[in-house]
Amino acid sequence: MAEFFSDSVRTAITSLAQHKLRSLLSIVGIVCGVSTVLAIFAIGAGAEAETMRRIGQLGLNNIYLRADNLTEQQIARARRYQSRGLQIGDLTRLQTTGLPIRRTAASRDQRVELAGLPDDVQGRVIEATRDYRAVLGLTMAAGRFLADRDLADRNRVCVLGWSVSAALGADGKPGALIRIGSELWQVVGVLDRRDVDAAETGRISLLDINTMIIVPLGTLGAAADGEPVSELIVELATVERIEAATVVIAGTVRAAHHGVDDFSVIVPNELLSQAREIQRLFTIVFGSIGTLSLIIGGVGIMNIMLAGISERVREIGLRRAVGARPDHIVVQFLSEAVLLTTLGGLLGLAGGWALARGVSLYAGWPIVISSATIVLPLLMALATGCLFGIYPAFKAARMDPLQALGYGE
Amino acid sequence: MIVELRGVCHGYRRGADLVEVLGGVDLCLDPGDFVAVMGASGTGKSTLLHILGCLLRPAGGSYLLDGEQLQGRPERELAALRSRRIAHVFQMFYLLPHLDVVQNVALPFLYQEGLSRSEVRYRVDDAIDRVGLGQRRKHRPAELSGGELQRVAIARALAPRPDLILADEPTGNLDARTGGDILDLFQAMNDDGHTIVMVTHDRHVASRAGRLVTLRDGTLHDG
Ligand SMILES: Nc1ncnc2c1ncn2[C@@H]1O[C@H](COP(=O)(O)OP(=O)(O)OP(=O)(O)O)[C@@H](O)[C@H]1O
Ligand SMILES: [Mg+2]
Repeated sequence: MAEFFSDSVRTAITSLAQHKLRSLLSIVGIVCGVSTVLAIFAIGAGAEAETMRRIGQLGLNNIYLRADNLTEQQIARARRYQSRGLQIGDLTRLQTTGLPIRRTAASRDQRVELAGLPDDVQGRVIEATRDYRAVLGLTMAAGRFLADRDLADRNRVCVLGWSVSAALGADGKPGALIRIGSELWQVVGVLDRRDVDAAETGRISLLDINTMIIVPLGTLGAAADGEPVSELIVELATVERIEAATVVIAGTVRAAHHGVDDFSVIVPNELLSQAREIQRLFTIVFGSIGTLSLIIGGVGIMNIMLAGISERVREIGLRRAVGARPDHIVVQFLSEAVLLTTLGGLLGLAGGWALARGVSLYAGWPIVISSATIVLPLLMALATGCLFGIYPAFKAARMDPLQALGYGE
Repeated sequence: MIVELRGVCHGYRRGADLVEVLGGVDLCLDPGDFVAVMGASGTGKSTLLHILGCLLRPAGGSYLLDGEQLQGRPERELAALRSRRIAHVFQMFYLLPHLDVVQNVALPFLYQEGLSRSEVRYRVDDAIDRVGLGQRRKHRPAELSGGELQRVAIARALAPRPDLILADEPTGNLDARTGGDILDLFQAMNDDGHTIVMVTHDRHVASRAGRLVTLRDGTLHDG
């Protein structure tokens, strides 16, 4: 048995080696197919990981209500209907909707400068509530986040983003005092670093966590419920039926604003599904191209095997005469097809890797090469080889041994 | 009795007609027999040999090998017989060009199970030694003479220790001297107890066999 297989492989190698150019040409299609498929998988997985990283940080259970810059018309309408913009009170109203709300948070952008920052470091001061940290999934590098009493007592405390803290050096550690506007504030905590390209998150600028200086809501300017906030965040206990919850939340807040559309709704979960949908289309289109070249590759394999078989009719007849069964012949020729496609597959992996790297360098897309992105295209190539090798192999096996040996010609 | 053919007939289609080649052949072989088959060209000697070698199913009649009826046996079983119990030596040698002598001789063992690797190696080496090619083990067919090629083919037939060795004009492609050496080999194999059926056109060759049969008009005749 083992001898039979090693003979099959040896025979396959010999026959490939005898026709190097021909064999090489026959696997071009497989090489292209595997390259394309691997590149698609790598780019797709990279895009998926990147999307998850970008959007996932927003919290997939979260719904964001963001205050809009109003047009003249909207301002007039807001005045007429006495809408006061996004309010922390809107959150209280949402609690009565019966939605499975786990946590809520509010934040308000403040145009105040933090003294002592080097020119190249941007610091952005925002006011926020206690659960802002949990809702965004932020973690502390040192110290603590804002507490209830900070908000109740309007304590002059602040939490620093990682790069702000680093830029301030010793003054950026918990316990230090820093100057915001004209007052001194005590640092109580430093957030963990979160790697996000500022450019990438441009759309959702609040997430540039590293440059933030977070103070309790209502400490810098008006009282917490005095002025509109910039953003409300609702974290649901479950992502199920998040669309329906979004409709309810938007409707409730709009009603509270007397129908004035002075806010927009951002649902990371929807962004994610949109991004995934686009990726899916991309994968389907290029996956089809890859599959097509695999099929063409399969035809190439079939062609070369048919040629090989007609050259080796005598060998087939002789093997049958000394005891080979038809299935032995099938295995022998299939192993040739498998060997060819494996060869093509390996070359294709190298090509696909180069292709993916090239695309990622040229277009700046991230790629992920995992065991799945390697094994799957290889398996596809093998399946193609077997599929297209079966017909020639059976053709060889069905030959009459005597005819194959040349009797009766 | 090792072989018993009874009323074996066979024919080939030529266009619309069915041309009968064998019309009721009877043949009995005892172990250790050395039979020469003669007959004019086209009388069906090769056809008879292919039937004996289970490469061809006869259209009619019965074939008992060692008392077992072979008619209607599945291809799988006939293939097993071809790898173990029956061996062919062809006029055209039919060696695989990319394999060396050892690999060519070992070919039938690829298709049978139950023998250990060392047993196979022993039988292969032994067969190669018997045909006098001990110095040519690693040679490819392209590096061997016609006589040596036929020796390799004989070693390949010999190595599985078959009950029956069938040779179809084994000296047909060789000069007289080389052919004589090959015949000596068959003689020696027969002396060792192998049962041999050999087709030949040469009366001298036939005289080396213990028994002569002639195929004429689709039937076998002694002498
Ligand atoms: N596969 C086949 N199809 C059609 N006719 C065949 C086939 N094989 C053999 N024949 C015919 O059957 C007849 C007997 O052929 P066979 O090869 O058995 O003769 P032979 O006695 O061995 O002849 P030779 O001495 O020339 O080798 C011939 O007329 C041959 O043409
Ligand atoms: Mg003949």
